[in-house]
Amino acid sequence: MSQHDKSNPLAALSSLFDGELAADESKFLLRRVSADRNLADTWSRWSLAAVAMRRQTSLPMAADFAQRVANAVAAEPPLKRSATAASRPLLRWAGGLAVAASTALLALLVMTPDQIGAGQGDLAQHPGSVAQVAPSDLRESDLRPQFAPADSVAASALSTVLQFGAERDGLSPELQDYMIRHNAMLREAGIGGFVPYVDVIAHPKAEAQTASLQQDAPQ
Amino acid sequence: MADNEVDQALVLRVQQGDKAAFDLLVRKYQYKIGGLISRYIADWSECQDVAQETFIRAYRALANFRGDSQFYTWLYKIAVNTAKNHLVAQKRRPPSEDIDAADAVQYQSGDRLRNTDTPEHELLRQEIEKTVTDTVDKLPDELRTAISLREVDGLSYEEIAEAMDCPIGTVRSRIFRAREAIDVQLRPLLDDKRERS
Repeated sequence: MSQHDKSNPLAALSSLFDGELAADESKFLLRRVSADRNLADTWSRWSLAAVAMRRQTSLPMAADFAQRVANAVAAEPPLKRSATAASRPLLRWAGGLAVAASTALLALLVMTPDQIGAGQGDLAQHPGSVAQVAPSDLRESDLRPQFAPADSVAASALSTVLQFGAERDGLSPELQDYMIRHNAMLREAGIGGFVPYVDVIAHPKAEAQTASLQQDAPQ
Repeated sequence: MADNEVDQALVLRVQQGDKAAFDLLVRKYQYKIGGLISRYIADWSECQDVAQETFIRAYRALANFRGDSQFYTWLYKIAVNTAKNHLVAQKRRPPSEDIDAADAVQYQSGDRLRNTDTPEHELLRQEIEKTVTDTVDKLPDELRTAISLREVDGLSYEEIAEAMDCPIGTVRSRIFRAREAIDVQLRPLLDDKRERS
């Protein structure tokens, strides 16, 4: 509300009439209108003028018409919004969620892994549809935090760090390498060399590799 | 905020127990509802009673109003049903054809039904319309444009500001000043009517 509106409630009423008054100011003004007959009558006249400007069908009403309705409404019990009406938005939301979940489930059941792979193939055939990444001079190694050389750290940590089986399905040598460095850094920081979110499994071949690395490690 | 959004905000307040908000809806729509009912019922006093009954029924039903349709469309249906029920209760035949909600609000002198037995009210209606249109015509250009874009074309303040190439605060002020100018001319007319009745 502008300064002009604050000093003149009619100016604020004009904004409210057009739905251009902020919610909290509307609340305050509505309370004031209910106690100020002059403001309420002005609202009536503005409504009549609007109808006349639009040349809409109208009927001149009794001067006390609104007051008579207000008296009748005052005698009515307070409104109790029906449970259905009140919960409708929630029901709509829940219904929409159920439909979305069903569709997703159906899609998962219908699509086989081959189809999913085929989809990726299609993507590869249309490189134009893939988001373009701006070229950069940075290398992957530039983005790594600068710590002690991985080999030496790895070697010193190997006595306490459980080894990951690089040959295990799904574990790439790169991941293996990363896990070793990660555990070593954690150990240096005094946190301990254990990664809670990764299955750590001692593998016979990995144990042999560990022994070999320990021998090669600089003392 | 569009006209319907203003109504929706007021309806929500009524549903939360604010009866003053309902009073503003009554004051806003009494003339249009009266005009609609007058197309079913000729007598002015009967129109007043049926209009009152319409608003009371609307208040009672407002708890279940979900906002799926515009408030005025919903109110219009209640008014038509109340007018028809009134005619049936009086053992009079309601018109066989319904008046469309969109047509109901648009004034066409030839379409007005049996209003000939209340000439003084028809005269007053015409006088009000003439006073308002004459006053608008005499307004300075910037006030006339602002109020016309708002009331006739239904533009928001932001849209009017863009159309008139001025700040929203200026639009707000121009519309208010136009309303004040119209009100100065309209008030004595309605006060005279009050004194006569």
